Amino acid sequence: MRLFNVLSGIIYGFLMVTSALLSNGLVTYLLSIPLVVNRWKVVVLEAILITVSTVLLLITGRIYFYPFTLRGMTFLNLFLIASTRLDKSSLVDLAGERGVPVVVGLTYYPYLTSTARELLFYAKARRKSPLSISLPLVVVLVRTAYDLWNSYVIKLSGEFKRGHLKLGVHDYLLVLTGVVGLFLSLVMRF
Amino acid sequence: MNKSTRDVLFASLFAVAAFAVDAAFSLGLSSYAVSALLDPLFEFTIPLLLVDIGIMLMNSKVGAIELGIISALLYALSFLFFLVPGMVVSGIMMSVLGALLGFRTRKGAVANSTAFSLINGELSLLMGGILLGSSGILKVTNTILILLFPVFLIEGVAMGFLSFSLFSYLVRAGLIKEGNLKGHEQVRETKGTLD
Repeated sequence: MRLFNVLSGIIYGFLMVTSALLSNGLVTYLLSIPLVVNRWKVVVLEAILITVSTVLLLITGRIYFYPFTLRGMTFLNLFLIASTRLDKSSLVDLAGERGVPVVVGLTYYPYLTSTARELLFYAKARRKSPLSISLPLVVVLVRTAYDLWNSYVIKLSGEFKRGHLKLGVHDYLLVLTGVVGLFLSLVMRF
Repeated sequence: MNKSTRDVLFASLFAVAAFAVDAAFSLGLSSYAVSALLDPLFEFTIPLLLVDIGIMLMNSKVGAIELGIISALLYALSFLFFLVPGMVVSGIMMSVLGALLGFRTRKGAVANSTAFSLINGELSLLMGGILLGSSGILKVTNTILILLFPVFLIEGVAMGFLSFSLFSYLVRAGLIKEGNLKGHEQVRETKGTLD
């Protein structure tokens, strides 16, 4: 899996957010799916949410609200891309010490979900119901925050090396995706 | 270490978590479009619990305000503007109440949770009536604002007690060691061991 540089990531995020705000968000949402496709459960959940909300809006006769759902799902996808596909060493290179809290914040949710998945696995192995792990989930939520805070404190004393800010072919492809999304959202208005 | 950075970090973590759960409810079920009344009812279940635990964990006045502002920014980004003023006002209110009653006491937890639910509920109903139009399935009127007041009150108080018990579980489990933990040590003696 290729990790993207922070420079191309910022440009891509800016272009995608702009195109989502300018249009109805459908093109932007579809263009953001290929980067989160390795988390297919999230994509399926989003598809279910979009379907349910569209059906409810059709029933209540307020279909003109549907861009809100698409935009929300696009922002969720962008957050997932930022937390899983970003080269975090390039972020620290760019921002120095100030980038470390951002890195910690972006690491939180992948780390939390992987730990929660382990918890669910052990609950299944012991044949406990998934509802019984709600208390341990809160414990994991808080412990993850403390763990990341401790790692942040330790990392502060280190040296931040320069020289990771090299752009590859996939970075240019990412920016190209953003540009294509912006133009398509400006052209396809419906 | 630097306490302000810690506050920003914890506030953003819990605000994003609460926002994610609430956005899944309000965007997926499009409850804001069906009626402005439905959104607060969903918001004050799991998201309120996360906000309460975050505030008890941070245990600082600045942290509560930051949590309110960060969640207001998140809601503004996803175009749910009718929730923005309630978030800012309730963040400031929770900071004041926490300074008066303490963030980690039972009284303080219940007061914070109730303030959050009442302010957010009533203000989001008012703003939803103005911004989204009161022409949903159920119209937002003065009667409904008065009728839903006890519902928000009950939700806030219940979530306050629940969050307090969860927090004292966290203390008994040995996760939280620093700060003021006065009310929680008695629980350990009366409730016995964990399994």
